[in-house]
Amino acid sequence: LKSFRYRSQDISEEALCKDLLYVFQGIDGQNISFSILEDSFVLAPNVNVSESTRKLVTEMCELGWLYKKVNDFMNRNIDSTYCDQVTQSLCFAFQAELTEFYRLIAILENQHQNYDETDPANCLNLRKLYLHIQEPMERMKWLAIIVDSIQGLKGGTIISSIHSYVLHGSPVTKMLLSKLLREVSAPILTMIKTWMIEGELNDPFQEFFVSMDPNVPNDLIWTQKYDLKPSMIPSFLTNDFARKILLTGKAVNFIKKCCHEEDWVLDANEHIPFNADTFSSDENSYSTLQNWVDHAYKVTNKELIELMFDKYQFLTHCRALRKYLLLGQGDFIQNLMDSMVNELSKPAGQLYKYNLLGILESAVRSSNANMTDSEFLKRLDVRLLEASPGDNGWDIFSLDYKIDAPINTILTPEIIQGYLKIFSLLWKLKRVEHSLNKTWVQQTSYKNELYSLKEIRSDLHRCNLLRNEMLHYINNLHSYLQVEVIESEWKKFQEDLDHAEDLYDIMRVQRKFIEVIHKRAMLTHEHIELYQLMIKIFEQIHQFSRTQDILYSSALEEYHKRQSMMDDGDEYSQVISPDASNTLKQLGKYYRANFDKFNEALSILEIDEKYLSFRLDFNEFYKDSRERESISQI
Amino acid sequence: SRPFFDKHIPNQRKKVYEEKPKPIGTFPVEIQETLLLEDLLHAMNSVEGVYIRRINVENEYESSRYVYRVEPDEEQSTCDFSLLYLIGKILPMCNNHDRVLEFVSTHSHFEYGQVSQALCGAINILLKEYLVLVTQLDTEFVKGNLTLQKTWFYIQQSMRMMENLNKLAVDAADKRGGALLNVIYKFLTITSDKSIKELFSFLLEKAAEPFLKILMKWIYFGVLNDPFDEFLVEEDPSMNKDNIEKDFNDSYWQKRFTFREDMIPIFLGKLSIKILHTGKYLNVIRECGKEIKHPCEQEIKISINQSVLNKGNSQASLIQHKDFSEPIETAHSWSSQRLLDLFLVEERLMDRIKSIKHYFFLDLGDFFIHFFDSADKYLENNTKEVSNDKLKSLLEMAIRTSTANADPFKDDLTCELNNYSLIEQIFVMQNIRGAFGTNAYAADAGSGQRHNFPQVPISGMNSIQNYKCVDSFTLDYKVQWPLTLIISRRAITKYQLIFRHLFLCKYIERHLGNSWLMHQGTKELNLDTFLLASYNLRHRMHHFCKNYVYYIVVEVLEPNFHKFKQNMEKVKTVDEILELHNTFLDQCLKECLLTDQNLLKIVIKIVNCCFFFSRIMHRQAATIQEEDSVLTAQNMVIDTNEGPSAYCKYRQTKINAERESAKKAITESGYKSMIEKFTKTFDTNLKQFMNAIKASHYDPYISNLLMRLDFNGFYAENLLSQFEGFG
Repeated sequence: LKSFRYRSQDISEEALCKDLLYVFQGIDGQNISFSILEDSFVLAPNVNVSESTRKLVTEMCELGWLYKKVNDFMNRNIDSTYCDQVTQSLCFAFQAELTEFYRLIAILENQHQNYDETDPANCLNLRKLYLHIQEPMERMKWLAIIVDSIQGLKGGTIISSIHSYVLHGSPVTKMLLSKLLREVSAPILTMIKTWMIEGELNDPFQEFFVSMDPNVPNDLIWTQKYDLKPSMIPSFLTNDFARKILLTGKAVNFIKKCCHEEDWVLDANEHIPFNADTFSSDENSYSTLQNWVDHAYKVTNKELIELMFDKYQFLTHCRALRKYLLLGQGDFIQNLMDSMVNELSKPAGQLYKYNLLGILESAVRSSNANMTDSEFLKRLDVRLLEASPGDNGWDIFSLDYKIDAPINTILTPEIIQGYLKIFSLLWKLKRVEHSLNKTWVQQTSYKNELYSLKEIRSDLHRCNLLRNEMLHYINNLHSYLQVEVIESEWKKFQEDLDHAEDLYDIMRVQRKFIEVIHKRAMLTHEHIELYQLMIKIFEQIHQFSRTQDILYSSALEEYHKRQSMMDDGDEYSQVISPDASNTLKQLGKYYRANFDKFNEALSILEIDEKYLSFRLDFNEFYKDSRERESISQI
Repeated sequence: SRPFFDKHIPNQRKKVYEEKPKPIGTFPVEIQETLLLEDLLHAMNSVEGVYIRRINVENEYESSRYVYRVEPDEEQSTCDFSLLYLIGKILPMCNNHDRVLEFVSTHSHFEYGQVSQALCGAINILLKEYLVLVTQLDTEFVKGNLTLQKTWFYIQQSMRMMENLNKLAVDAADKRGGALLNVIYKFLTITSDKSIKELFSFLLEKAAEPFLKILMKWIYFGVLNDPFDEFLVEEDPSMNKDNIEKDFNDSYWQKRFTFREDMIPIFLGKLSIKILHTGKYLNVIRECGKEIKHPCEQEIKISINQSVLNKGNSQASLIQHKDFSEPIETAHSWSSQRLLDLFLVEERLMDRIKSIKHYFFLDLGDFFIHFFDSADKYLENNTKEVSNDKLKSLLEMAIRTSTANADPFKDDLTCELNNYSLIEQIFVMQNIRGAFGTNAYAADAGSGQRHNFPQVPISGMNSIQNYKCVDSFTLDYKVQWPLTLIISRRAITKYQLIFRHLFLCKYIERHLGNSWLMHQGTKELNLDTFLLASYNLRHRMHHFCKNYVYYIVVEVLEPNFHKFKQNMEKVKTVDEILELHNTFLDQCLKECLLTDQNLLKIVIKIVNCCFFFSRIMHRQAATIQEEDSVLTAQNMVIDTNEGPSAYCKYRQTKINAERESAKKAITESGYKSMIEKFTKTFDTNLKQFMNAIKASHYDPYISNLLMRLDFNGFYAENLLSQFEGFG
């Protein structure tokens, strides 16, 4: 019977099996060899076998082709000096798979060797071979698919690419792929661990998702030195997660290099063990990783924040800034204003920093600012801006606050500049208030004398009215800025600080604080019109106080003259300072016009500033008078 | 590089045999059997042999398919007849095997999804067993022990398996996910063969694995991790939760997660609704940025009831329901409890609603008195002339100076001037949605498109300028996620409708009160005979307004709210809250007559009539007083030295003067007819109103109002009968 089975074949099944066993390892056999033309192993066409046998053999040859593909890939990459770590570990994973495969082939080979004519049941034939290679074929196919899919990729992208296959529904495939994924992720996970614990980047092949710019100095560790490479983030990590990893490592570096705490070590492993080797794609180990990263992130950043707050006293710096630059310390500012008035009225050229520093010093000494720690007081400084011709001291004077590392990572020069901008506005306001107060003193002290001069009574009255109006404006503006803007924002700022989780949060909160104040204090570009109006009104108030000065001095002169004349009994004839009285009228008009414009511009803003507008015209005095005017025009 | 070799697709090239094999009939029968056996073993492995080859047949059922035949090229096989017959019985199994292989190789591709892949994986296991059988047969064959009869005996089991697998493959051709599970389940239930039942239960168990993984993630974490769209729940990412604050018709809650109808596994049955809700609840919690730590997480598995399988009794359900119904139930109750806590405890929902009620239902009286006092003159003006901000600041002032100051949520209250009058707003809403008194679930069925109703242009609508401030004034309330789910824009709008109506009535009642005050001033003028008509009318109007407001506040809003509050104490799920809140609002709307346009129009007419009347009374009193003051200024300078008698004298003169002027004013023909006209309008409308109420078959809530309005039968006696005569 047997003769029928192989009746028309030149070649025995045993020979075919032997050849195939070689082919499975990518080696040409006697009758089966690799054909470049067809890109596969083929049974020599001149061998006469039955059609069905040929088909069976062709199917099995596919395994050889797949093996060749995988093996080629490994040969290309196994040389570890050129190839990145992820690819290397992929190769090792492949290697392990192939070892299994070799074992199987060895067993089959053994069975083949033990071929015994008498015992056909145990001998290896094509069909048995076919059965045995079903599973290896499937595995090899997946390896080959992966080889195809990671062509030209490296690092995190390879992981992402393999991760996309892990979702396969078939349990066998899933297991294989998860194993591969685990192997492949190991180097990245090790990098994550070193990065998060030691802050070291050990990444010769640029495959990690955090990159470092070696040219950036240590001062800028937080802001510029490190960056995320989004393409390299493995797809099983979310972007948010990657950001946490970046921040943690950054914080470690910051603590070590900028805060000079070289000894500090994260002991996160105590709480949650983290082992790169046991990681797999399933939920559990992923959440372990997540917990570990979360924990490390929290601990490190908490440490950093504590350092900032305790060792470097960030909050005290902020308080000092608020006290001095945002005029929070009233008596100090009042003192400073009083003693600076004369000095600052000089032209810019005659201003000397040491003089001003002296005044500042005495203002500090004579006020409660004295109670502040000298550590912070000595940072207080005077800054003189670039003077342009015609400027006087007021234009170029500014207080300053010096910040050094590492706090300057948060309180960057831009932030300080923002504080200075607010200071400049408040200082101007304070100055206007100061000069208005002086006019009041003038009015009150000479009231009795001057009211006897009948012809200027109306002018005096006008002065009084105008001063009141201006004072109303200035007071409201001042209280709006100081109470509604700065204080309320300060409160929010402190609350936000309590919730800050990392340095980045603090920076954001700090920036937000300044930005919101700028916006609400009309210092941003979109409110430029309002700001200019405000400055114009300030200017008019100064003009007013000057004019009143002139009026009063000439009137006083006249008064004394008349006093002496009365004694002589002579007639008096002179009209007192007509210019001043005209200017006064003009001023009143312009002031009102500007004020109206300001108020109008205010009232179309968002709700917060609008309340200022209500307050400025709380009893609708201005509205009514506008209406009266418009009626009278008709 | 070339694509992977796909071994299982039958080779469609027509093979040309250079050397045609000898017809099998030329061999002796024993040799025929051996030859056929060898070919058969190949065919069982999906490889063509010498005599058994595939042929493309086209029949009426399937357009084209390959089947194995013995010597297909010959018209009539030369084979021994009995051998041919026997082999003809075996060959269908080979055909089936071919097709199952094809199914597996195509359906394990990624696009068919995880369930399909898992199924293919399971079938692969079965196929391998089959392959082992074939190899064993082959060994027998090599030994020379195999005959066709033996083969027939050995493959019985596999034949049935293959046949059923093929049936499954045909039915499952384009199915995926839950639908695929349903196909398997169907086969499981319709077969009665024990071994086949086992087969399908094995397949179902394996295939459901990925599905149940998704399910677990969904009910334990609220995460929908379903890359191949196979799960029974579907997410619509375009449904944005921010919209719910702005859009009246937003249906985030209903539309964000919906059933993928065809993917619901039958065996889950009613649990599917619970599954949807569980995940939905968790999702809301996640959206609030809260972590979910499920305490009762456990593996969910489908297992087949072995006793049913063995005994074959079809009484008990085949799948052990308990295995997955229990965890799902616990997960459901946990998540709904968690969400309830989120709303009721963390977000203080009831306090919120109470706070809203304070303002929208005029619950805090002093707050409104304050507001009326300060905003009175603005409310009379046209909307164009009044700035919303002014009203806002007045509102805030009123809040801060009244008991409302104690409300922790007072900062969320603002006000606005609506572009529509109340009637128009209701009209617009009803146009968009039909009757808007329906609850949210029913209403959303038909609304594919979304409207943002203030923008809907309605022809014939008046432009904004024509409204009095009091007509368009409405409160608004800022609500934040997740409370927007319950206090949605829709709910706020309903609150607003009630508020606007109530606000108008209250406002007019107040004005009538003012006219009463003025009328008191005329008492001493002794002009009763002239003024009686207007006193009378004023009194009746006041009576109406007072009772109407009383009705709304005390008989409608308060009891309904109370009921709502009581029900809220018993709620179990958020959906219940939603429904309760909706029914509460709808009931209030209905009982406030806001759903009945006709009734509402009459009410508005009546109150407007009252409003004009009070305005005219006000103006009249103002003119009298003005004249009076003119008189005073002209003639009288009180000499205080002359003592009280002089004052009396002065007063007497003053009264006389006033009387004269008032008399002059009211005896003018215009005045009398005006009052008559008012009386007539008021009476007509009131009559209409009462008749309409009567016509509405005395709804219990409304008959009370009727009784209150006509408590001593005054109208029933006088007015109605009198007007009946008019027709």
